[in-house]
Amino acid sequence: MATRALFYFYIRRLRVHAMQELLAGVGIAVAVALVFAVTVANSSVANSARDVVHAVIGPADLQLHARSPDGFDEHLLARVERLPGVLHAAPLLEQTATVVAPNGRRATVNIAGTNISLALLDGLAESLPLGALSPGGIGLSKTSASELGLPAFNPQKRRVEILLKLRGRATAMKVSAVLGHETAGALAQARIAVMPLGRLQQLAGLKGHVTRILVQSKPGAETSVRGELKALAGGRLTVARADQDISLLDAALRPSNQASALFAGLSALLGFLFAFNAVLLTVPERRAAIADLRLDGTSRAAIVQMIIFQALCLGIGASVVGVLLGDVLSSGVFHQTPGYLTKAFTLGTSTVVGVAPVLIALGGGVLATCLASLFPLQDLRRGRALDAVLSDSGPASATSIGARRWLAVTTTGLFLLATALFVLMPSAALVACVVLALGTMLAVPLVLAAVLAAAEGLAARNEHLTALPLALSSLKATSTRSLALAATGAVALFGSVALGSSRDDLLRGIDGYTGHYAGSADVWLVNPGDNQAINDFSRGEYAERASRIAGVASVHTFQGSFLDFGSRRLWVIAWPPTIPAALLNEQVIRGDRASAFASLREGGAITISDQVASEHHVAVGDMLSLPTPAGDIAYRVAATTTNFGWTPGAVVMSTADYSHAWSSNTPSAVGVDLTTSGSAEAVRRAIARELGPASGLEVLTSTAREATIDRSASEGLGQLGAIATLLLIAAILAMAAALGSSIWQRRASLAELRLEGASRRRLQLVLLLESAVMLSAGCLTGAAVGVYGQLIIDAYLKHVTGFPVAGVATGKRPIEIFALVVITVLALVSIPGWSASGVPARLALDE
Amino acid sequence: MLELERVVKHYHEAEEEVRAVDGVSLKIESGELVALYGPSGSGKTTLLLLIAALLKPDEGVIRYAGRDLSSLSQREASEYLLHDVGFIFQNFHLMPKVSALENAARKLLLGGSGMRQAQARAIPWLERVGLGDRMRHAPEKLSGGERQRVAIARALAGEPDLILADEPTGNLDSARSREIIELLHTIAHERGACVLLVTHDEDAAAIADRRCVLRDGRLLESSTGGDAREPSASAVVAGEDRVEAS
Ligand SMILES: Nc1ncnc2c1ncn2[C@@H]1O[C@H](COP(=O)(O)OP(=O)(O)OP(=O)(O)O)[C@@H](O)[C@H]1O
Ligand SMILES: [Mg+2]
Repeated sequence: MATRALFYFYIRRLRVHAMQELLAGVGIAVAVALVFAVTVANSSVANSARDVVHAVIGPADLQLHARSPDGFDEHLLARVERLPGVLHAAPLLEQTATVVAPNGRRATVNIAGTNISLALLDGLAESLPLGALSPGGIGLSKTSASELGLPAFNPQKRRVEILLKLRGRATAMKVSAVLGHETAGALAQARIAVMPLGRLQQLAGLKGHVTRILVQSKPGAETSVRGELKALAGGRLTVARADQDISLLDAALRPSNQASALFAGLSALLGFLFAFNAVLLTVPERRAAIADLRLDGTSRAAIVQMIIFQALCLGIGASVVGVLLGDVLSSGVFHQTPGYLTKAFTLGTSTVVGVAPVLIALGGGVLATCLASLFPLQDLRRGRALDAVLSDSGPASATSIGARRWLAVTTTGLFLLATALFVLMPSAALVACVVLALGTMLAVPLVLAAVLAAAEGLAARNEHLTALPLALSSLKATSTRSLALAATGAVALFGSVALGSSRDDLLRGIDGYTGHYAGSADVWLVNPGDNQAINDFSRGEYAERASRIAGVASVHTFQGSFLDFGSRRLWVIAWPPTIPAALLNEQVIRGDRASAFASLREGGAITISDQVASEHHVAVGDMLSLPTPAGDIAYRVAATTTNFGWTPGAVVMSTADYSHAWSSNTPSAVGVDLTTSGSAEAVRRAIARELGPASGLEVLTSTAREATIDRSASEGLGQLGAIATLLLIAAILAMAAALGSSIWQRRASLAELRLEGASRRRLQLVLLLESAVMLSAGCLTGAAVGVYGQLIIDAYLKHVTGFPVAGVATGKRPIEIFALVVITVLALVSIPGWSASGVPARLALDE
Repeated sequence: MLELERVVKHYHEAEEEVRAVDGVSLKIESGELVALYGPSGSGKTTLLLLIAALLKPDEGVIRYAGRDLSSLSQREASEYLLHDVGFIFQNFHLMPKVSALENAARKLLLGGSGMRQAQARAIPWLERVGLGDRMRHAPEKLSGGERQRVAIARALAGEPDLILADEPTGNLDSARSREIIELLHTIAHERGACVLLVTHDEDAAAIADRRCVLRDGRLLESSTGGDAREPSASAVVAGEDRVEAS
């Protein structure tokens, strides 16, 4: 067939069925947008962090890294520089601090103290403004500045003073530079600040200390320099590739990436099913068009060409719109980087979009459209041109007993397959969920038939229900459409319930842990925003001062820091032996909680995240050697645990063991227990008064601390939430588009009812009943199977990613989602429904 | 009682004006069966649609039971169509894939009857049009004539007082078509309904109380006697005899 003719037929189709084509297009676009946004979200964080790390290290290839936040002696720099294979070396002191702007806004930043040698090393010396490293000031990256609500300004002309809270001390200082992209490259989009090395050492109380030395070795000398550095490190410092942070970050992101990959993958596949169903809705009229063409004697080849051409037009057009929509979504919804990771890594904030998401989204959208468009071609195969004109027995109709039996057998088979996968391979959760989703779709015709039969019985028994039989007849008259619609609902609910509820379980799991953790003291003293208590106080006397306040019964010091272990940046939690390790409640995976706590108290023992233990092939009772600042020390593994919400994994030990290995007694958190008469809020205020603003510490009641930790944890899992929400929105939109399209298609048959004198009210009622029957049949199926999907995803999150996950609650979540979807969709389609009910009777005569 | 006074309906289609109905005046008493015929395109269907209030006349007045149809609100027009009018459409307007019985009961359901009651009332009508053994068949599985009869049963099941039949026997053999016309005739006489019947079938028209011819939208009034082209009075008498005999 000539291209001109193809265009002619498509334009003719558009003229006649503009609305259906538009609504199918909307369905596809929504689906593609979902696919695109979730795929982008999944790859952004790691990509932008990579840029930042490379901007910091420049051409450096090796580094000497402190194992404790206190760093090591800076005199080592001179010895490193003297090594024969070393070209350049630059010192770096890194601390996490909170900056408070004059307007009261605050931001957590990674603050780097360095000198001009780093700028020379990474090539920023030329562009970096002189002020950035000027004494007495602080240079903020553009992202940090804008997070503080500081607009771009010229520090030479305007003086802006901020408050820097660092290691239990608050200091006022002026902003000496704002580092934009033109001066600092990729660093501009990271949450960082810079100041001269000496100044930061003084502020942090770490005179003469650095945490890192970046080394650029001479060409070919890398191996020898590494050896020499190892000798200098003496087992107390880490020698690693300069870009080691990237692989550490990758490891940190892996579990949440695995989780969001599962969420994203499932959402994407469900998106394709939406697109598929959206096109399926237009099948009846496509079949009629094909039949007409065949009556005119058009050849089969020409018809096939035409169908494919039209599918490509629709698929490509809608998918392009979908990608654009998805781009808007991904920058709007997924823009924020996981804030909880900024404490351990320097992260970028930009969204980096690769080619892959575009290709996946476009290709998937077009493919789904083409596949669904092929259904009408079965009429060609049967060779009965008139069949489609006379009947609407669509491809998905399940009227015959044989078809039903086939569906029942296949559905059961799919559910069994999903169960087998679930039991035998929890890591194949995505496959299991997709199998479940397919099973759900195939179950829909059976459920719909059952619901129709039940409704018919109801209508036959109850003579007052006069609109119901009318609704039922029109449902029967449009079986393909009804099925496509119910299937959309089923897929939508399946996904929304499974993802939404699993995320709830995950958040409840984390909440359970934070409740036990924060509840271990009545009032807490920590560095601002330091939820994990990994930043030391520079001075230790705060605990003692707090203990003198009236109403305080006892004071416990907690310690902690990050420790790079293999490819993981572990969270080390040092627990005082004086109070029960309540944080282990519900978190122990292997081993016994009570005896684990006893071992911790005795010393020489740790608990470690199950993932890490199995990576190093250690079981409970085995010894595991950790690279502590005091060198490698072997500890007995008393139990394995979840990751406490910290994706790379966590280690719990007693403060005694910690103090020994880190050779430090300074707390990173102080927990205060009250006497029975003390009120937490009163004591909190008294302690805050006693410490004064200069301490820079935050004094929180246990409930307040729990809330801040929960907030940051859910932020870290924000992607999952965003994906679940996005899926829900896409589901609602896809269903509204599908239902709108089917109501639009119903106009002709509504006109027939009007021809017989049906009132507008009655038509609205009929439409409402029809929609409600289809939606509830589909959505109930979806919600029910969704709960099963939730189980599978929970198991995946717990055993594969190591997150703490609360048991599946037989909660009201599925019911909530069901009600939300059904009510929203019905409300959304009430407008097309209302307008369709006003269809003039003449429409029926004009056909 | 139905009354039309100088009713005009023109269609405008791309510069062309079609005078589909052009000043028709007509009166049909209760209990009267009037046959309307005329060449294709003469405006018969348009006239019926006007009477059913599915179209609004450009000029003139249509009154049914004393009410001016143009003054009806949309809702009242629906009520009128639902409760007073039985319209047998030229092209059936049946619902695909649902049984003949459900199709025939549809209007009763719309009128507010329950499913059982509606079907109980529709069944005798299907039997009367000879479809007692086809009630469970969907329209796709019925012949053209059978479909037409389902449409007739549907229009009559509600026992309307104004029956508008647009070539109801177009697809039927002559025996069947006579039966249907006789059925309409009986309904007119026994229940006192107004029946307006469009037909090309001379035999069928012979049964009517009165015949009218429509040509180019104008009514060539005929009454029982009538001029040259109209059927003879004897045919009418014969028709009536036959009805009374049956
Ligand atoms: N919706 C419309 N728009 C424009 N013109 C129309 C429309 N409907 C009918 N017509 C024209 O009005 C005239 C009368 O049509 P109508 O359907 O009333 O004829 P009819 O007498 O019923 O013919 P037939 O015996 O073929 O059914 C015809 O010439 C037709 O082309
Ligand atoms: Mg006609």
